[in-house]
Amino acid sequence: MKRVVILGGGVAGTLTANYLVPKIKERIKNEEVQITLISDRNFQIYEPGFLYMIFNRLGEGELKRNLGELVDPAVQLVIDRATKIDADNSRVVTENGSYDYDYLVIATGSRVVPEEIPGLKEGGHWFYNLEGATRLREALAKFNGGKIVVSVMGIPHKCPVAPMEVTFILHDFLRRRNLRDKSELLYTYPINKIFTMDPVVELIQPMFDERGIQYKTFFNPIEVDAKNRKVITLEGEEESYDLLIAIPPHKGAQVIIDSGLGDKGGWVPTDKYTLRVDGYDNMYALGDATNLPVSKAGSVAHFQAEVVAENLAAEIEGIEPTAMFNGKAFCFIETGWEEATYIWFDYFTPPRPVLPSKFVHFVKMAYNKAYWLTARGLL
Amino acid sequence: MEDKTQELVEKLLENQDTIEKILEKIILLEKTGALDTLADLAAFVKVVQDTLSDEIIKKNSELITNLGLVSAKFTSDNALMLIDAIGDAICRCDKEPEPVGLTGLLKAMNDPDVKFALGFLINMAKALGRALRERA
Ligand SMILES: Cc1cc2nc3c(=O)[nH]c(=O)nc-3n(C[C@H](O)[C@H](O)[C@H](O)COP(=O)(O)OP(=O)(O)OC[C@H]3O[C@@H](n4cnc5c(N)ncnc54)[C@H](O)[C@@H]3O)c2cc1C
Repeated sequence: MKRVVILGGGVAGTLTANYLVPKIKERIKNEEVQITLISDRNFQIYEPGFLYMIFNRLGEGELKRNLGELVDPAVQLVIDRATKIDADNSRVVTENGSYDYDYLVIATGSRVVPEEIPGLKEGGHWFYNLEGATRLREALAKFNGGKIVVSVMGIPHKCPVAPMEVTFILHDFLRRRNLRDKSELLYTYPINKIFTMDPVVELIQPMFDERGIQYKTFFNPIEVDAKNRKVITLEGEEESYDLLIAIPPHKGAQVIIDSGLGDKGGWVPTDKYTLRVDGYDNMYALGDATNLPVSKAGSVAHFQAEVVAENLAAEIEGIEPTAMFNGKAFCFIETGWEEATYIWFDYFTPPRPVLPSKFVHFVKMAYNKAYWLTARGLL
Repeated sequence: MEDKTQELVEKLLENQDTIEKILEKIILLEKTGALDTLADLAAFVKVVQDTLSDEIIKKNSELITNLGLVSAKFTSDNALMLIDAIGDAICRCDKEPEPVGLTGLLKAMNDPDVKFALGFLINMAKALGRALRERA
């Protein structure tokens, strides 16, 4: 019997499992193949929802679903934390057992590490995980005017456009609460422009200007002075704030680091087209976990899962795998409380944002609910 | 005024190709009467946009999503086989039912078909128990 182990029950892992099952269902039924999905929690979180949760537009309960509801029943679901990937012996060791594999899919995602910027935990907020979003929701509800700094403190980070989105929504949130006149909004970015892609800069920068949103580029925070409420940068600048919303640095999963499979950020070196882990024939990696020069986005994980599932199915059938990932990403960009645009791009095509509209915003709001159909492999 | 006219002329000249293409399309639409239909459609789209709200979108998407998740399971091979078999059973079972007591029930249990269905139901109960426990 061939054993496929998928590590991680986020978008990437769940979708790979759900796409793989129908392709090889006869073999699963005949017990020639077993698919095991190992995840350290029995639910999945829809992270894009944090952007709405902090403004109280989605509740915490709306962002979670049980993995049992999302994963195809033909998959063996194991809730356990992997402590080591023993690649030489093709085995995943968990806290409660161990799992031999013929094929391994690494889908362990990424996490924020605010502790890497001294003072950030004490002096700042973020919305990139559940506890951060819960705390920020409280701070925003209490906010009575002053200076808000939205600061990107490291690249790569999940969902590249979320910092711009939160800035736009903040502008409207403050206006609705009659606080905009009493507030300053400053957005900072580490490189020489407000975003990595020029077509997006061309759309967004004038919109920031129209709204009186300030921005600073080449701004690389190295420390937060929590007591005096200041951000200190590598470039020698100091910026004061009343409320700091940081996009903290990110890292790969601890198990990747502990297994010696990652680079210094804990990202798994992966082939940008085949999604095979460099140096291993029987290992694929996808989603946030890889070192690829693509966005850390759920949509990327989705498009990659199609490729990994197709190639795994081919290998199991004894056919040469030929599917290739073309770098595709799709991102909605909320440009306010009730308008949005979107971009898609791949390795060969630059993004071309459409004009922001209410309809695109509605589609995003619908998707916030319908995402679970994507996880199930239906949408 | 002069300046504005000049600006306009410049803009038109700059985009001459695009504007010619657009004009051709609009003329065709007008000639066929489709432009009126499009104007009506625009009014319809606008009324939809003006009456929709985040809350309506959320509620409806949630409903569709839940239906979708459930239907994924009820359209699996196994589920389809069962639903198909139930369909056959309903169609074939044209006899008027007779009241059945405990002895009747015991007698029926000797029937090979009933035995088979019971076996299936017991398997179902086992799987249901496991699924319920997993969710507890
Ligand atoms: C605020 C915010 C907004 C976003 N907005 C968007 C958006 O609009 N569009 C978009 O496409 N993307 C968006 N994203 C990004 C998107 O959420 C991520 O890219 C996506 O979740 C990545 O999926 P993944 O499966 O690779 O990783 P994850 O979702 O992080 O899943 C990894 C899984 O692995 C498990 N795991 C980790 N280590 C272990 C271990 N040792 N043992 C067992 N299990 C383990 C974790 O518990 C987790 O379930 C956003 C993210 C954030 C934070």
